[in-house]
Amino acid sequence: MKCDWVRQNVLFYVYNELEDDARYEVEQHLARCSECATELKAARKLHAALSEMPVAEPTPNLLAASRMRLQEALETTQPGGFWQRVIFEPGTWLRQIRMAPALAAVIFIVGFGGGIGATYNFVANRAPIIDVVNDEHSKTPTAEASIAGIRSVTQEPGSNQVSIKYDTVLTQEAQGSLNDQRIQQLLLFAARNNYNSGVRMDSVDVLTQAPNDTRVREALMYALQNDTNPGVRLKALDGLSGFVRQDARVRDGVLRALISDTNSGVRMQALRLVEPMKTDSNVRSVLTKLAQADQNVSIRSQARTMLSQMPEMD
Amino acid sequence: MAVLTPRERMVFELKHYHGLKLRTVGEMLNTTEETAKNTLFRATQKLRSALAEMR
Repeated sequence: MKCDWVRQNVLFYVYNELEDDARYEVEQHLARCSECATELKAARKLHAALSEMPVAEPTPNLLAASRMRLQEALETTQPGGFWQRVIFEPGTWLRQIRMAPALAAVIFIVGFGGGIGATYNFVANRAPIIDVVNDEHSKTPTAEASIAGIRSVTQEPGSNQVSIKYDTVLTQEAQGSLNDQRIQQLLLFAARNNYNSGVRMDSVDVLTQAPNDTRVREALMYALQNDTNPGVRLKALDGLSGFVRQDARVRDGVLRALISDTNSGVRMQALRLVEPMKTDSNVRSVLTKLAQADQNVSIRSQARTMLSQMPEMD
Repeated sequence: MAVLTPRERMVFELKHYHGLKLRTVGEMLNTTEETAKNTLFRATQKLRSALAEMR
């Protein structure tokens, strides 16, 4: 079973297309199973043989003609608006799975909003609405804020009066200094939870000004380990830079990033941070690993240089 | 290369010679990463047996 799975994935291993977990599984299995290791050799051999095959290059005439046709096509096409893209190419934006949480929230809110709108229209035809919150000016609640959910719907027995309790989503603004507890809470929330990486980046950037706070340091560590955006991870790394020496957890976090971060820029920065600590045994073993196996040439050579500058230890 | 269908050839060339990620290949060909992955697998299987026959 395991061998079957590995053989199906050995090609993607060669093409560097496996997720970290799958890659690790394959490597572990290859170290134990000689048959699968032979399969890997065969896949590498095939890869090398195919790389040697001549690739047909398009003729300059064909290239020039294609570019002209593309240019003409672009000039004659009217740029489509947002709604046109949403209506005619739903597959394209639906495939952007990163939008899924935001999309789900929007569908949720719109669904409830639509339902409530329909209910109000229905009730409005029969009786005036009394909005308990704004009863002096009876306008529909949707004018104030988006409706997030309905708590309860009750009708007074024997009358046509309905009372509905609902929650709303209101955009609010908070201002204050970085020491303000409310501001700190919002920043910590944004650094972990916001689906917009630009907002996470801004929050982490502001948080890096107060890394002495343990909660801030936690949030930076979280961003370094879990954020999907390499820019945010790099920012978090900057914020943690002063604590590599004194805080063992920070050091471990940076070492983890050094081994497993997929972005070479982040790994490079992590390498710079641990340089002063290179005599530490953990750092040393990570450096040895990097010197042998990191995908990036300059990280490998940098790690080798750092190791060679160290006094030999038994 | 003659053993491959035009689509298999396209996926193989984009991956092997241009080094694109399969996700990008999928997006370029208006399909999913999984389909691009399966197509690449099929293409290399065909090339492998074609090369074995030549030798």
